[in-house]
Amino acid sequence: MAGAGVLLFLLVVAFLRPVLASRLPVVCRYQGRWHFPGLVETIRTLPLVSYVVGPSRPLGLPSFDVRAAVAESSSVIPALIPYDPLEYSSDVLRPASRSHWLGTDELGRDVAARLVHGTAVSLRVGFGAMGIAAIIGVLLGACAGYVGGWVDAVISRVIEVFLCFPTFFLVLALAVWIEEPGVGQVAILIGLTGWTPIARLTRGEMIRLRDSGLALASRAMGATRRRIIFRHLLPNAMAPVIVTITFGIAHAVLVEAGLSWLGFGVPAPNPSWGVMLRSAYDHMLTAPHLVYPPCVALFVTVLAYNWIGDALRDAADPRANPAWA
Amino acid sequence: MIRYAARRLALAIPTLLGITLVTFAVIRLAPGDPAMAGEGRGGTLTLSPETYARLSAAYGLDRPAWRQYVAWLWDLLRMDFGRSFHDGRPVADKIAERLPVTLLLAGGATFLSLSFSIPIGLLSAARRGGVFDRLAGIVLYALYSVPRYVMAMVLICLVGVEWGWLPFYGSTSEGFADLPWLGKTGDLLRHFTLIVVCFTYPLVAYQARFVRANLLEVMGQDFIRTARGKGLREWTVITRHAMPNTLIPLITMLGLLLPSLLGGSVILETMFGWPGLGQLMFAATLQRDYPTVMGLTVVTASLVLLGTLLTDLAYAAADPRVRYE
Repeated sequence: MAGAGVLLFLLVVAFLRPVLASRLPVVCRYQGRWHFPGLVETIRTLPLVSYVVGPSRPLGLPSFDVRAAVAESSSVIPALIPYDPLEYSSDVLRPASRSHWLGTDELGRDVAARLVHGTAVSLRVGFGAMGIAAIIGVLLGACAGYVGGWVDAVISRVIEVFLCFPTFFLVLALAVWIEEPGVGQVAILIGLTGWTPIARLTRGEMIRLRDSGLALASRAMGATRRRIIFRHLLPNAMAPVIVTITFGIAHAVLVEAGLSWLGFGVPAPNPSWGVMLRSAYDHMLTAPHLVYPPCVALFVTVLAYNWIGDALRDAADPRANPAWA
Repeated sequence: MIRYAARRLALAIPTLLGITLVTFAVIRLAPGDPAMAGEGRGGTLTLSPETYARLSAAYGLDRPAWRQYVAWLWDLLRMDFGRSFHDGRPVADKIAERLPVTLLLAGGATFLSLSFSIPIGLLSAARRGGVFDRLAGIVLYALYSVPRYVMAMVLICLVGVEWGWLPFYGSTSEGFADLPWLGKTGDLLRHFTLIVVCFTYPLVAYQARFVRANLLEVMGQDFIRTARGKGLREWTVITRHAMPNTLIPLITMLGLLLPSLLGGSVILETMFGWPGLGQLMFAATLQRDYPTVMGLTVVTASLVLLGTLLTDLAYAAADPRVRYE
């Protein structure tokens, strides 16, 4: 339960990031009219909304005029961390202070703002990658488990082959070939290399279920194969799969951070915890304060997912890998 | 036993072929090809058509894909991994000089983790619910949630930079060659310490939990009651009767850890400047050194396959029931 709470907190942070860390104020009164740029931006950054709504024009002005306009406004409530994560400054490598709560990095960017926005990047990659992996894995695993025969033999061999490759070796070998890495591409990459445990598990569950009374009854009623698999068997097979997916999200976040650390993940100015770790590593001798924020963030995220996953696992199958009790 | 071994070996061969196929396909799917390697990411082709044609012929790129694959496979069978694009040295040499280093890391981590996790698991199970048990549970859970490279960063920052207790980069210090034999060993060990700790601690967390759970399950069985009924001391009951039955699942689990050990090595070896396979993989990826990348991928995947095979054989040797499946 604590895990779910932490995850909820992270999600809230990710969604509310324009209100938490941005140059845009939450509320201001500019030229006699009330504006809510922070809130508008929050809605605009929700998934898919930006395609509908169009580019950002806070206060109805082009973005480079905004700071001046805000300076002229009255009744300004600024964002909690009034810095943009991409904004350079000359205040380079400063430790934590009253104006920059977690300090600044090597380009003068505020670390706290980057941490907040990095939450969204990491979570997006984590969920996206696992979504892809889950779809591929469940489909292949269900087909292999239910149909059996040569389909099963082929898919099982494929799974076995993929399981032999160490994660990062495969991901790196693929990452090189992406011309312009973007957040989406990284998620797809991690998803494409992470589906095998899910497939194997789904296959096992399907094998267990296909000879059960449930399958027999469905067959007797004349259901088509596809209907049997998807409507009847899969929902019963999903319990351990959901556990694996939960742990997989944490794993995907870590892989993304690792890739970003190596320089093959999220592209340069975008804040990601892995990129922040890299800055910290590069400047460890002069700016050790950079190390802790992303480390704590990653630790908390993994801890939360482990909690949730363990709780789910205990609910689904208490004997599987018993908790420490 | 021989029949079982033969069966497992026979099953491994298509997997091995699959590994080579996937590796080859991944490289071939890349946009661009080795002849353009010098142009970098998405660079425009500045080679003249004649030069490009000559390069393509030299790399054998003008032959159909399946012929390239067969040719590469044939070379692999004769242990010819080609020459590196980066420095022209045979890839096999580059791999061979780094393989022992990474294996040392993996082996050391496994050995160390077992020496810690078995006693911890034993003690926790023996005094279940006691102070040690609960404390170990919490500490190990927290440790398990810390990602390896996060721990590495923190350790480098604290132990290496701020406190200066241990060296944190490379495998040797300057002036290594001048040290006497004992000094050399000591120096290597000191460099080895931090990276091995980073590899080991999640293994300990995972294995200790495993050992504890298995031990508790075994201790609830009848033959333990018999042993106690015979009047044996508790210590003898645990070590001579319960432990051997716990070790078998532990062996299985060990083999499954190999991919994560080798995969995690990329980031950690790069962070610590440890001259192993992971560091080579990362460097080769950066340099678009295709022969090295392919050779490394095949070698590591094959190693993992070998590890799984050995684990299966060990399992079959220990538990005769497996052989008849």
